[in-house]
Amino acid sequence: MAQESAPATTDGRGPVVIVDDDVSCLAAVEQIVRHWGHDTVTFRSFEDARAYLASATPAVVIVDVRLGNYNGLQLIHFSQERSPATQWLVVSGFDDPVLRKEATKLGALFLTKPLDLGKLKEHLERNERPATSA
Amino acid sequence: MSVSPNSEVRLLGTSEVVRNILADIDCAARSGAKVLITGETGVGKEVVARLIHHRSARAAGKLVTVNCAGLPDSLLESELFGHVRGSFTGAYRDKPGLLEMAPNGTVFLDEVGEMSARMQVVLLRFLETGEIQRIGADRSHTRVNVRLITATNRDLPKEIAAGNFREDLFFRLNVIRMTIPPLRERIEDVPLLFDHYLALYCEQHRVERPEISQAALDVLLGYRWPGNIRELRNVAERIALKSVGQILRPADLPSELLKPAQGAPLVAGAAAPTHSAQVEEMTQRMLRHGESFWSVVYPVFMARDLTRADLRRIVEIGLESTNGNYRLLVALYNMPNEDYKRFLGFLRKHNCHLPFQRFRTIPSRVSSGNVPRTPVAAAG
Repeated sequence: MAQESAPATTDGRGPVVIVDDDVSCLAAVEQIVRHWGHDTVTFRSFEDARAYLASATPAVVIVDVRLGNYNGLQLIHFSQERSPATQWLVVSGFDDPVLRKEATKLGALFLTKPLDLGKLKEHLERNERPATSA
Repeated sequence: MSVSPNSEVRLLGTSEVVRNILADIDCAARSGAKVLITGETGVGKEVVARLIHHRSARAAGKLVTVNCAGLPDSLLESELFGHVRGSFTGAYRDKPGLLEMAPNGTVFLDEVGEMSARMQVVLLRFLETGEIQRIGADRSHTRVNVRLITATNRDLPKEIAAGNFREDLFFRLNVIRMTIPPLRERIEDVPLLFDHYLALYCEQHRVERPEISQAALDVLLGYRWPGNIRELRNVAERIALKSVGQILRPADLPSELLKPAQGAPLVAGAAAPTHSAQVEEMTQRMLRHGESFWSVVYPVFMARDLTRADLRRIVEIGLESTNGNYRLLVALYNMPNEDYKRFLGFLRKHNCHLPFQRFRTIPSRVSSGNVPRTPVAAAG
């Protein structure tokens, strides 16, 4: 497994990682996030995202709860220790209070679909500030 | 249903599969999140659950195991949540539920896929509130702090599609998913596991531990193990109880292991009649002139100048001369010992791997006839 971290962009920000097994959702979010000027890395499966996160420490990860057999929250559980600074946005098609609580407990932002783009943009901008000022 | 002490549990094996599972167990243990363990029957789902508990921050608490299969709703609910006196016939006194009995511990729900629709709702509600209400109790809710680990051998997404399992419950239970592969996908661990259990049971039953012959090992490695590790453990125990003597031979193994696997490549005898001159000539070159299988048969077969039936016949001749011993056959056809795996792989790939058992029956008795089969007397 490669030990190098995610390629950083010219201004020092890492890419925004997007994980969703629904291809059209993934493409839509990717396009919007790119439109706002962020680089993106996308994954369509839990396994691929997990393999990537085993060596990368991205600033932001947007992850769907439903990833085939897996729950997106597992990615947080399995990578948080290695990458504590990563900000997680958990996206879910249904508002389950239990999952919302668990995501919040992990320090993640829980968003339901359809996405509130204003909230998403605000969150991404808030996260890039410490990185750019550093 | 049991409340277990912090007994020593281990996941045996050196395969990559086992190493990955152990790494995931550590991740899951540290996280504290709910875990859903899936895998065929007998793969060791409960062992994994125990390891997660013992390596977690809750290790000082209890681990309570509940098997959800085979219990009627009312009984399962009463087991999990408890009941108050007089809530149903036979409820003579208050009884706490198992969820209450593991404060700051872990509750392991095995066979969670067997839960009825009603129990699924009850569990769903518990997950949301973290509160339990004993059956028959008015409104005295108790909050409990337990971690839930669940396991099933069912394909839950399929059960959801069929309307047998609640999707919302699945997503709440399936925060961390661990899939335990069947034994046949880590067959390289079989010798170690078998050795371990054989030693264990021989000691337990105070019998001399037999040495495992290569042929017996081949049978163990060639078997599909549908019952996984539980089946392997049972086989080891049966061997120990049978007191086979000094050497464990294929004939000592349970008969189901000796039957050709389902979907085995060849029906015995199918290759028999085509005894072409070409086959004759090739076997003579290998047997009499010391030429290697790789130079005599392989290129011709790969060039499609030799049929599968012919190749099978060549293998059959070899097995007939070696009492069904593929290792000897490799030597007989002048291949180095290291080529054993490659040779079997080649045969399997081309569906020419014949079950060796039928070549074994008669002569193996001759060689083992002098080995006494008297059981070793139990000491003490």
